[in-house]
Amino acid sequence: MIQKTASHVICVTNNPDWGPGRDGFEYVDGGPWGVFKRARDLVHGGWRFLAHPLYGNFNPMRHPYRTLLLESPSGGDRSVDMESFSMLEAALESCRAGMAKNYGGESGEAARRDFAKLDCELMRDALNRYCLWAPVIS
Amino acid sequence: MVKEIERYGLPIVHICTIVPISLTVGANRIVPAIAIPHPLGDPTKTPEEEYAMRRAIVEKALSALQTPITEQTVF
Amino acid sequence: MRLELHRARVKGIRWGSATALAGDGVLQVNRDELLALIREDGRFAGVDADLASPGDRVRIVPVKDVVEPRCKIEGDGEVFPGMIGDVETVGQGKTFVLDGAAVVTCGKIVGFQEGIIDMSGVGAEYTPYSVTFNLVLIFRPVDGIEIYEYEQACRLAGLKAALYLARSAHESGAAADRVETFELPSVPELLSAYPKLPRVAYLYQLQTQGLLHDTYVYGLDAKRLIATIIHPNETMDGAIVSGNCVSSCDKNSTFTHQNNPVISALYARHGVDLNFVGVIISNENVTLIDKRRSSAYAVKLARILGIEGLVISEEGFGNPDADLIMNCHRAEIAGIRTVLITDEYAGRDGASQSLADATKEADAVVSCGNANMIVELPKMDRVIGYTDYVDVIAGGFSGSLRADGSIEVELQAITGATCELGFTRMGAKTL
Repeated sequence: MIQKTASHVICVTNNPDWGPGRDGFEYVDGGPWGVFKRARDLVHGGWRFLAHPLYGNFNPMRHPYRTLLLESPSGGDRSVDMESFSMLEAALESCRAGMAKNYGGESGEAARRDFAKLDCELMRDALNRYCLWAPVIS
Repeated sequence: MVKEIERYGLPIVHICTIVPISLTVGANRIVPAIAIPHPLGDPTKTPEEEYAMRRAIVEKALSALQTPITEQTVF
Repeated sequence: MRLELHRARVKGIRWGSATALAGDGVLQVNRDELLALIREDGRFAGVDADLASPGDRVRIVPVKDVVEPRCKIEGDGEVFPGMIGDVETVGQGKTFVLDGAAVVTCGKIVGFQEGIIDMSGVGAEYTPYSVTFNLVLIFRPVDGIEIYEYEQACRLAGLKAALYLARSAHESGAAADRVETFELPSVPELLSAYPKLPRVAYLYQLQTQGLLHDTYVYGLDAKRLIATIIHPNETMDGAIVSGNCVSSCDKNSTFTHQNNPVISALYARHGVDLNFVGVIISNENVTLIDKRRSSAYAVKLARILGIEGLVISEEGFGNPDADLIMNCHRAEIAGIRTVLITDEYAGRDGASQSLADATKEADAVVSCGNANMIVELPKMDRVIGYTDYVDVIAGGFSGSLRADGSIEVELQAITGATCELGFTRMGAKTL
């Protein structure tokens, strides 16, 4: 089934591989924590996740990039979606645990490129479904 | 914090957005707020409408403080 | 369906002039012949092979997958259907197993790496692959190759090597030391055979998030599946293959898919105190709509089969926890009792919440260990593979790899340490 392009779906990311200025993308600074904080503000305003924020079998602080897919509240209802709220809190908790353990840090250009590529690949299916996927800048 | 203050015998009202969480942590007097980013306001309303909303919530909270309860109550 | 596993015990491994299982139980491998086979795939700039036996002061890092050498000797199809050969249904007839041997694939796929196997010392106590005689394949990709291509090449190489070892050993006359028989008839026959025993099924969650996090069923990317039924014998013939490298402690290697302890345990108790009705496979996709669809479908299948009790295992952590909890919740409210098998990410002191999700119905959970536990791995005399990236292995951290060659890591970095099928060397007892 082909999903119609949803004008209320956005991708919040700090991954430069998606390319600048893309429709439906919101670019954030500040590593994965910065991306989660922006998602937190949206979830508090009634937005909900369309893809699980803790994708990839890494603690999010090990991975310099994070790409989150969210949908705006419909109509005037901005009440918090509890499922998204729980997922968000779990993600933030995971970040805090990672920061306390000094995860991440410099890993070289080759690793950085691979992390960026892997981030795009793990979100490929999700973005495809919501018509936000396009070949990334390599 | 709600539970700690109540432990000293001071009645307390929890104005909060996510009522299920407040119930789970054991707050006894709960007044639902507007939204997490603006619990006692609404930037989409006019200043006068916001004031009225804020006043209503605060008055409800004050009334809850004075209301005897026997179990967790959402006002 | 009836399958016999003809297990020939391997007691050693060495290079030799022909690939065969010698009378003393030592697996001899013709190195040139093996490497020529693997090098047929032009996607490798270099392939090397090495041996590691239990007790060797050897560290293998970074580990991609571990595969048990098997081949069909009777019955339709060949092992690893849809990956190397055709997609004919497997799980019947006879399969030859080099019991005690393993193919370990190793090498750079991306700039950060996964998986440590120590063959001796403290680290060896935590991986199930320190007690197998390992043939290690080390890969180097051609320059500029697409990551997907290279991952596939590495994956297929491990399977080809495993099939080659088993087929060569069998054809050169290796005899089985023991034969295990696994037979589970059709559902109507099961129900009439044991009408009074509780009907139990296994819900087998497969990792399916994307590159380096995938699983294949008859060669099909399991991301594309809707929950479905598989006969447990099919798993023994490699119908489920791992394309998942991350994270090393709780990824289900192909070896564990071939030797799933949940399936063996259910078989052992079938007809005794339970009726093992079947296995449902489901996936762990990233989108929430896929999770809900898979979960709804899997539990519906369980209800159609009249299942009363469901054992559920997951693979991975973080978002797979959501699938595990969702499946538990749905099954329980449908009146099906559940038991969950998972590992934990409970912090270094074990005091943090273990999973990223929870539900009150998840009141029967078997833990496979805490992946955040710290272990000190001593220096080894030899490293097979590459150590450069230990700091960025999931489970490593800044300063993990010390100048003296010792490593301080979380259990997460050790291949198979907290495998969520229970294929581990850790256990617990009630005091």
